[in-house]
Amino acid sequence: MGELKNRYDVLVIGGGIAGMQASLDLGEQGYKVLLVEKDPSIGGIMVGLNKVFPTLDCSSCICTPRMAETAHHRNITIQSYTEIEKVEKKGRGFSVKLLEKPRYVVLEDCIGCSLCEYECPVDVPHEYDYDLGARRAIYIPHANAIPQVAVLDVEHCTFCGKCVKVCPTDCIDYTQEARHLDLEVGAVVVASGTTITPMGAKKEYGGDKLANVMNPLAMERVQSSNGPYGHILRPSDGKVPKSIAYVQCAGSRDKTLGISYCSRVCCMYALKQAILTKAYGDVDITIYHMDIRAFGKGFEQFYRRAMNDGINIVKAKVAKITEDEEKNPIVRIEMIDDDGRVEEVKHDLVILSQGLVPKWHPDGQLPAEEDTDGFFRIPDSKIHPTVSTTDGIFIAGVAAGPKDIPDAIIEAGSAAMEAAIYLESGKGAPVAV
Amino acid sequence: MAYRINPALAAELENYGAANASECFNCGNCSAVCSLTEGETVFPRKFIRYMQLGLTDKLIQSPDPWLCYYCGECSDTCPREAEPGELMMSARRWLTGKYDVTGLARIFYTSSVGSAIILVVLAVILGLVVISSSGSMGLEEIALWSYLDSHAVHNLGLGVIGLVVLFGLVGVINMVAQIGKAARFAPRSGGGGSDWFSAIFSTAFTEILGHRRYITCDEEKDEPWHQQRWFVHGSTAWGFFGLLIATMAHWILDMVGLKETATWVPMYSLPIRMLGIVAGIFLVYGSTTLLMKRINKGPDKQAATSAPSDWVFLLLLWIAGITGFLTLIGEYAPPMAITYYLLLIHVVLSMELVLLAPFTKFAHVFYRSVAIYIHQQRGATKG
Repeated sequence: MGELKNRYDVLVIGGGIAGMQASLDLGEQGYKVLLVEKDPSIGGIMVGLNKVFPTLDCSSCICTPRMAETAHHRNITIQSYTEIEKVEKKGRGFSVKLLEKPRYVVLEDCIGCSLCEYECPVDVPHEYDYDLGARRAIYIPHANAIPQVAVLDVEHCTFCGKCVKVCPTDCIDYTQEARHLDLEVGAVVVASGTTITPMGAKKEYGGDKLANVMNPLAMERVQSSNGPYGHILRPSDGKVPKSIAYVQCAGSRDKTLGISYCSRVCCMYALKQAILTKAYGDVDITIYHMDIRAFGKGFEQFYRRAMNDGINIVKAKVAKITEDEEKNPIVRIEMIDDDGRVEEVKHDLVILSQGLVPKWHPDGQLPAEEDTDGFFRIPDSKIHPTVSTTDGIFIAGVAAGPKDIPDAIIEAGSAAMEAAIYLESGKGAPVAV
Repeated sequence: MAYRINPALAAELENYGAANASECFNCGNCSAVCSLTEGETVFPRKFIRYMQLGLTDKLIQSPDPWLCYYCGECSDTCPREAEPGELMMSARRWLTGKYDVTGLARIFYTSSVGSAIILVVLAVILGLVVISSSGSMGLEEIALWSYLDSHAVHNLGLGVIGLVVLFGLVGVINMVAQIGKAARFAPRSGGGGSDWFSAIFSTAFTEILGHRRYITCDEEKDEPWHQQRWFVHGSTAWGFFGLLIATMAHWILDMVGLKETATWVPMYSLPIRMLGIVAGIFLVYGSTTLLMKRINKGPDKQAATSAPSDWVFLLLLWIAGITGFLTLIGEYAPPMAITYYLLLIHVVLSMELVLLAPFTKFAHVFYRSVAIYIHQQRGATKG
């Protein structure tokens, strides 16, 4: 990973699949890249997913080699657990202020042995499993984390000292403080990614209070072999769900949420999860949708396959979700394709197919404009789909708008190429031929 | 049955207020979120579909728009902000215009200038009729009915009621004839509905007086009881019915010779007068609150947009209520000329209010009642 210097060719913001791809594409061309990641580990959303559509490949099996490649690249420096304080245009380049949050673990000394984790007496709901599993107050973010280094959650730590005693390299330091870093870069690639619509956004869907109404990313973890349960169980009582419903457009294409756009991935991830769950055994799965948007290569076939697999595809916008005494979610729908009657259907588990919203709103920290939908504005989106409103800042992946993994990777490559061109064009007259 | 497509239906309804309904992409959220859906009586999406497809006949042959009380839940949760609740409201306005043979209802719903002209002209005519038989204003002692001739007022009132019954009946017959054309409401035997007597009983008491559907409509609203829509509406309706009964009773007493309208009575001596006062309080509270909500364009979704007809109806109702009370106060206060003028205004505008009932928002009294009766009798399920 290398020592932090005070000048890099490119700053890449965000260590998800798009940020890693952009870093690698720039690093391979010989540019020095600083990859800044807010979380303790790179990998983003993809490393926590179960499978990818429509190929049903293992998501982490694709993502972790990229993480390792990024981490071991001679031209890429990863600055994890670090936030952007300010990026300012300075001449053709940028001055950058970073804030490295304290891990309370010396990054260079930790060997990722997990002994501190085993010893820690505090159990905390694990963010990586969307609070369905547990971690310790000092923990390695997850099995595939890079850097494979512990981080101490100071909110929950009781400072009992057990981890310090057991640590073989004495790398735990309760006195560590946040560090401000100043440096200069030639160009910036923003790959700040996405998060899903908040589960409580729509009060008709229980406002995040219903135990068996789940977040689709949590379902990815539940379906994963290294997930919190190791089986598909529902959260309230650990029952094996016999009837699962997907509520499409739960967090997009809804003006009342201020999200009028289509999030592009929800139809496909719902179909994917449904196909996989169905493959596990005897379960009824219903997808309530406004229309299924299977627009990419192999997507329509995937949709057909789901129907052949016996997944019920029902045209109906779920208006309300309530629950009975056993916490079985009940969805209220109009049977549009039938006779238009209104029905209340009981399921064991409901997954809200939440949409994609921008994860980072720079709010003056970065001189690139936001669009009305909250994603970064791309003034010339047809010809330069990764060029922001500011010269030298390029947008990759979902930061520019909702898209799936392959599209995010394509854009990351494009953003890397735009950044390289920007760097080269600043060097003076083009080489004569 | 074949249906003729009317491409102008959407534009027609937009003229009555449905501004965003063409935004609808038919997801069905509105029908599913509605607390008034019963069996196969499902709205509003179906009606937006009728509008989008231009199915005039389907729309005019359904009593269902009258079963909606506009809680606004559908509009609040509509992913397209297509305002389905407003479409239902516009459908009721449009239907009132269609049932009415005179064309007045259409003017009241679509033209403020036309409404104002009709209002003023009619007030002047009624005023002239009333004044033509007026006597003197006694200022030593208040003698209201030596100023206005009670018999002339009674006779004019009877004439007005006669016209209202006539035009109301024509409207209702039109409505029933249209609804009768739809196969869905063709007579059938057994199952689902109630007999005519219990249907009338539940329509009159449970629904019109008890506001059952209105209360169901608003069951998820979180407002103090006196601000809840069903109570405000109920207060207005109960007040109006109470005053109607009190007025009719006065007239009957006069007819049978028990008490002449012109005679002075202590405020507490007659139960009828007490009924009038209590009902008046309800009416003034209700109509004032309704007006305030419309002026503030909220908090109810329903109050956000108002047609001239809504204003005509509410303002006449409110002025009639207020002037009634002021006249009453004037009767017991030191003699003032203004009391006589208040009486004149009260009489003229009350007459106008009643006379215009079949043509303004007031018409919902007839149409909603008939629709509820049909709904009760047929039952919620399809035959």
